[in-house]
Amino acid sequence: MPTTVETNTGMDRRTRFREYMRKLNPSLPGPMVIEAGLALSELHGSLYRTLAARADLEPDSQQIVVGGTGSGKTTELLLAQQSLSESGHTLPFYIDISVETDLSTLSSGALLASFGIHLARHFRDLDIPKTLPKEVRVKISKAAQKVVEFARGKNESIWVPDSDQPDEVDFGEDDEGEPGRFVLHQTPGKLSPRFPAIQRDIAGILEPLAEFLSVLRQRQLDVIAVFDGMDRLLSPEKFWAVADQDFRALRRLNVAVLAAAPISVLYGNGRMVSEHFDRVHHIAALNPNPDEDTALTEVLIHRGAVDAMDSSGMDRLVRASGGVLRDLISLARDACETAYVEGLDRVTSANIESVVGQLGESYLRGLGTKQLQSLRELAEDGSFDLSQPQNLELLFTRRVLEYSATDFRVHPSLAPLIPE
Amino acid sequence: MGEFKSQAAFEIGLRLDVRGDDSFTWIVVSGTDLKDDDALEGFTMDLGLTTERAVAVVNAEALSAEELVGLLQKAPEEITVLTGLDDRDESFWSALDINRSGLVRPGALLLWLAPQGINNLCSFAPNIRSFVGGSMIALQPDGSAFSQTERADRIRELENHYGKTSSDLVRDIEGGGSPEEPQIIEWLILLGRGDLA
Repeated sequence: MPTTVETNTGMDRRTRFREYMRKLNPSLPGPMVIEAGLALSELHGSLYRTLAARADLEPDSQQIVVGGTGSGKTTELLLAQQSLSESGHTLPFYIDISVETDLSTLSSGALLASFGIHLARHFRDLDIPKTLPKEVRVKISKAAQKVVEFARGKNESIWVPDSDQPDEVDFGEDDEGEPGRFVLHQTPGKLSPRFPAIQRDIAGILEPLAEFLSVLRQRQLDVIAVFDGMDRLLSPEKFWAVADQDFRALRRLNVAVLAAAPISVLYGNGRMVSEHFDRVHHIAALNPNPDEDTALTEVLIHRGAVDAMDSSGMDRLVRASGGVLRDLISLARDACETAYVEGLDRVTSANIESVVGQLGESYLRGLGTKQLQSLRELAEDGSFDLSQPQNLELLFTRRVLEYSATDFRVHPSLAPLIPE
Repeated sequence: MGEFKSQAAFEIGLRLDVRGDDSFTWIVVSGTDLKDDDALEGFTMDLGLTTERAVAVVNAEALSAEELVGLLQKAPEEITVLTGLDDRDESFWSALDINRSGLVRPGALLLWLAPQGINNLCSFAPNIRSFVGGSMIALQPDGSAFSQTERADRIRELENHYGKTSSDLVRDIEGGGSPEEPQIIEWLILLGRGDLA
């Protein structure tokens, strides 16, 4: 039975429409969506439970969640984190790496650095060191320092003998009488966005991380790293350049990993990246036919759209979304907003067609001749050659939607706008 | 190729208002003369009047993606119009797109883009495009761009439509009436009484 919502009667028009906007906000951050009760946890089956169960039962497992932009990956990762937290014997850290550092210059070690910072912060916030024996406290303190240096970089004075200096330099002597000087040496950190990629000794950070983990495991807590944001590294090569060493290191530390990955790992050379993971979960586009599947209609009902429009309007939005969750919510929001600006009390079919056209127009922009040709061919005879780079790009940018390994379709709001 | 929906600044302001103050919203505002400083000034003024909030303008022309992220997070609640994006290249848009989470902020972000800038966004920044969705609006010249004759004609049109004079309108609003309809708000702005909007 779909969830029903209270009908908003008696409110003035602006307040009523503001409430629609609040519930139909496609750019609300994932944690706020869940906190507001707007997420339908079973939308993708019980994916988040599957993620959580494996991470819980296999402490060194590594799973990736793959799907196009706006498919709901972040929500599933957050729900998995929530489920793991509630278990009482796991400690999941959700890390949106793109918030913590400049992802476009991401290098090996950055994921470990961020993970280490979260671990250290957890110890500090819960005041764990106070409960530990002194010798362990000292180890943890040193480990924390090493983690921060690894992440943020460090400045240190280094003695440089005069033998290494040009002849005109003369700055005094060291303790043993050898002339030289102190030089400030800056070691960049892994999370410092100002510096280009630098190869670091990842092995050097493992011991400090192991110190933290050892304390937690003595408290019967298994640590799990949930990495979000890396799906925006659109190419499998970029994703793997970042993830490879760090994920291997986390496996050595027996830390389970859940991560968002780009959809490109499912196709072509990207499949080699997928093979490194214990499980690859693909969030495909949902069924956009409301007569066959009510899931997307339930999303709209759960978010209060039934107060703003009739069921035929919701059906039209579901079809026009192509099964892309964010597009569905965006269309519903835009339709309500258009009705409001036009002085209407409820969304009309004209409002809906208008916003569907706008969404299609946004997908149409920036398309080149080859891409338009590919879209025409897909629309006309269903052919879609994944070996062609422009076709993969159409997939990554969601002009083409994947419903299964063999079912690809032009986004329905774009399809009518493709020039002949 | 079709066009995006054409709207005046106050209508865009109405959209921002109904979306709420902390809406994490993204909108692309497009037009052919967006390099015109007067157009930008008029737009931000009308936007501020309609939303009753301050509107900041940030020129991203010489900023790296990282610098832009840092700047936008300094005043994350502010409605901000982002200019200087039209000539940015693929690597900039890609970096911005990859770091999309860093751009997420409660205050509305309006990307001031000419058609080519929109093409670049849609080509190189699919994650940002997903956030914007269909919120791409062609800026319609509104009252601030009308000549005196055009303004007078439009006011006369509105008076005939509503069957009242401009003085009657102002008296009604000052007496406690609520200008909810977009055309009423437009009328007030044309009269220079955006304060009542």
